[in-house]
Amino acid sequence: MKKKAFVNQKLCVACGCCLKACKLGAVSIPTGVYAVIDALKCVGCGMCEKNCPAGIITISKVNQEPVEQKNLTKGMVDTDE
Amino acid sequence: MSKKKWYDYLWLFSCTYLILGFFNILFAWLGLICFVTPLAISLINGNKAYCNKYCGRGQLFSLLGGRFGLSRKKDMPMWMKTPYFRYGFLLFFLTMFGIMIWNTYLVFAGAESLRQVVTLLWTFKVPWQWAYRGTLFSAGVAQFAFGFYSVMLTSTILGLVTMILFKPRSWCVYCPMGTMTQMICRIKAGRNN
Repeated sequence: MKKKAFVNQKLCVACGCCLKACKLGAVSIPTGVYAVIDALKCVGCGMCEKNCPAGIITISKVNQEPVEQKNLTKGMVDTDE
Repeated sequence: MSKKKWYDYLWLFSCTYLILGFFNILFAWLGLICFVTPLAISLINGNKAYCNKYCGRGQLFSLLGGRFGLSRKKDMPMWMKTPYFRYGFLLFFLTMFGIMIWNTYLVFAGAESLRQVVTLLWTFKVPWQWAYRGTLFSAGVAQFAFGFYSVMLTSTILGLVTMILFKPRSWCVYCPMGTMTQMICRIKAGRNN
């Protein structure tokens, strides 16, 4: 089972602490309103969760592959621990 | 990726700013940069690049709370994260800012004389005459400097307190500039959709 970061976008202040904490560049704040996690890059390490001053990022287990790019995931290698 | 960029050292600017205010209050005017830049970036580019990259105060808090370990690193209470508190604090902050501008105006207009004090937490008036040796301009210029430095020092103190109690950058959650720029970005993003 994979782990991913999830942002509570209603409470996110878009400060960018998660952006700085993420070593994989999986976080972006495109419109300056809330942080967006790229589920394909996120490995669920929890660095963003740890650094979020509002504590509104959670790491949760996900069953399926990210839904955004379904077509790409078919040929992807499963890197599950 | 983890390579330091020039803007990763802007916490030095924040430190210098606070120190300069102890020597000559007129340096307080430099603080306007920290007000105008984030607003300009959010208005022009529609993002929070100031918070995300350039905010020296945020860097200072994450340095003191992180590397220097001056933070409990505990989650802040839920009510502090709600939009009610954040926008309420913004409103309070802007009201106090307005009163400060009004007091400055009164000195410019000659209705009041210059008060060489720095008001901390909107309450405590601290004598600050050592940092004032006159101004080439109107006394109002100095009055604004005293008022603006009060705003900057007060918000730094609040930020330090919440840094110690909660996570290093918990100031960012209720920072009036951050709330304002997010509001601008929200309006801009809504318009583009």
